[in-house]
Amino acid sequence: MRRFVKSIGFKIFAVIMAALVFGAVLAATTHKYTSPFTSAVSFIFSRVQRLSARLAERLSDSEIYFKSSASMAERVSELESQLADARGQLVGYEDAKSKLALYEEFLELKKEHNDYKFASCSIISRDAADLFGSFVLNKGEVHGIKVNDPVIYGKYLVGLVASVTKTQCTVRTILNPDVNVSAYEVRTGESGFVTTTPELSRKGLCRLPGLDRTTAVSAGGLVCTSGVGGIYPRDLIIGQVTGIENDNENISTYAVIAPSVRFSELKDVFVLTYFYGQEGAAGE
Amino acid sequence: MNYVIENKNAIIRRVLFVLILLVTAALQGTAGLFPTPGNIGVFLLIPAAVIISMFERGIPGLLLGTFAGLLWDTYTTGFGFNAIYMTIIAFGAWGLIHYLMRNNLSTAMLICSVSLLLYILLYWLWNYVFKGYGTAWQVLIKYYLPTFLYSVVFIPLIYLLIRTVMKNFR
Repeated sequence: MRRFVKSIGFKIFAVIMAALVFGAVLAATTHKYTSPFTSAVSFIFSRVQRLSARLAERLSDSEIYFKSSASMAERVSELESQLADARGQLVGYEDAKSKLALYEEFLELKKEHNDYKFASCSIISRDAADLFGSFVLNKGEVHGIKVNDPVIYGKYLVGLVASVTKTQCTVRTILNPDVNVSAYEVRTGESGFVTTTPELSRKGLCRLPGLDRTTAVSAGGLVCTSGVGGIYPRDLIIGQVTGIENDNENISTYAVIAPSVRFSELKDVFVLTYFYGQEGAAGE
Repeated sequence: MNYVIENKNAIIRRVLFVLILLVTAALQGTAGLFPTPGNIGVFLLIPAAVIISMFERGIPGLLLGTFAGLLWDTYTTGFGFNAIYMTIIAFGAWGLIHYLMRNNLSTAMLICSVSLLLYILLYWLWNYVFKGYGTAWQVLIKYYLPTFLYSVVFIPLIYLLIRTVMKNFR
């Protein structure tokens, strides 16, 4: 045992561990929530992540076909090649169409709110251990993104930036129970905060707790951000009320909300890097 | 002359290990790139780092383990937990093989399974139990244990791949 502890390998292990723990402490104290070592690795290998994201996109758009007989193989191959070309064009068209829809909504939002500043980002990876749909974006600190910046898709709220490196950032969606969004129901004006539980999150739902048993909020109501707290601007759409449930922990009720965004299908989003009234932002 | 060939082989082998870790991280972290039935996850980086450490010498294995952890951290919101965990298990796996165990598929299955299970339990404790979520057990049973079992299935494949690299570039 003594020989093992005195070995060079153990000494190097101890030095690396000390450095990693120091990096973790630094990450917590600088409020970027990313260790400098992770930041360096992400800077070097972010291209690999982008490449794999593009490859996954291609794979999801393609299908595998089997040749029926040897005599038809040549003909099938020729047709497959034509089909692949057509499908490639179609994929391009579908991508352009979905991007156009996103940019149209964005343009509308930009017209309504001149103060908003955005960074357009693509999703490059997702955390396999995280059940709540966290993902990594291809832009970071150098693009003006900070921790707690809201992430949107058109007029819809997606989540917020949880950690940031120079070239990429990690986003927690509103399906994460750690995310709380000050919100109000548009028709009744009842306000509170939208959050979720692991159980609801698995079903892709959120909740607006603390409503009276006699609440006028009902299914079909629209829930938007209220802007209280300065993390999110007012009037971003969170989702629609699907029902009212009694809270088991107290005498209140809560509204079950279906978010307007399909998080698993997102490819591109916008990060709001500045809006009037943002917490911690310098007045511009 | 033998020393030069050995040195060249060691460099090629370690470059290949880095590539394996990069591909594994991409497969694990990119949605749609690796089949995951029933929306469960898959942890491929832990077996890859552990098995590389079992075959490699102490310090290179340790460094490759740290690299795997740092790669994983770029996909997550944590501030360096994966790098710390992977460094410990990589060094631990090398120590076990160097001092106590033989390097074969059975020991690889054992060390990788324990490492995976420990990671999952730590992650689950930190993110569900300590936060007081009432449905923590359901999450463990419905998501994390199937994820563990699904990940274990790929240990022999990763072992064979790394052993092939090791045999060809010893």
